[in-house]
Amino acid sequence: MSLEITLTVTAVSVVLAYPLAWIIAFRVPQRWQRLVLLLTILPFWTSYVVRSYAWLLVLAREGIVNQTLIGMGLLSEPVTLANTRFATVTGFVHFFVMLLTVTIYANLVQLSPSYRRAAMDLGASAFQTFRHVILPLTLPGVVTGAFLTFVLCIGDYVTPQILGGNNELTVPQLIMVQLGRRADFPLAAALAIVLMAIVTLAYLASARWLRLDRL
Amino acid sequence: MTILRGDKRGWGFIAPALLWTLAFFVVPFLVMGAMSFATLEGRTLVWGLSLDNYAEPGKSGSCGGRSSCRLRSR
Repeated sequence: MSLEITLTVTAVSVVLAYPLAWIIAFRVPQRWQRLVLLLTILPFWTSYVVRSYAWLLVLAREGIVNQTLIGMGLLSEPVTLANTRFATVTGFVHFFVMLLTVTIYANLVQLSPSYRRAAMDLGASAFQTFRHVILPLTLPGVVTGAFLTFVLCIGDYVTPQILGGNNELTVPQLIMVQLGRRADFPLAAALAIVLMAIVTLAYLASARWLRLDRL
Repeated sequence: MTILRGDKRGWGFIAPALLWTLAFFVVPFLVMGAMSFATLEGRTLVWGLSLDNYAEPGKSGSCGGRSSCRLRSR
């Protein structure tokens, strides 16, 4: 369950953050870039408990999403969005898109414009330039951000607790249950070791793939 | 002699970080690792080499639902 949510969050966050970082780096005029970046990371300034509760209000049965969909005639009665896996993923994605946007943006602005010009001069289309030049050069930033997202997401307790309810428990929630309610320290320790093993495997995969020894 | 002095200085620089990591990561991690092989008998912790705790999350399908690993009774 934790792994499914984490992989979904990481994939969705990368897909949303890359175009956002691209637009900020290459489409927004340079004098506005700092302001736009600041606005992008503005939610970082609030506690993630507050952010999660805000999402709970937005996704509640009487929340703005349900009311808007009912107002538009797309729904006849409110649907349950809060306390679901969807709510957990939404809360996570909102946070991690900011993190990934910053790491990918930092990578994109370091790219010399001459790479793109050279590719275009050699007859590459915009898509080919992106596919064969820009994307490979920015992959270290993407993978670093994705790894950070993975590590922070799989170990997070608060967001699934607030937004996911107790319908499906993630590993950190299970650890807390063992510690808080059952005082079952051995099982909590085993779950924590499994969690650390997953994070270590993710690190080894990303380090091997990035060939950090070459940097 | 110079190299040795340089080595000592290097160790001196990283010693606080090493001690910090040892005290707050390595030792707690080893204790946690050892505890993961222990079992509970009632409320008493019995140190040993049991793999029951690692098998527990796999029982009754996913550990995410209201499964045995959440609700098991001792």
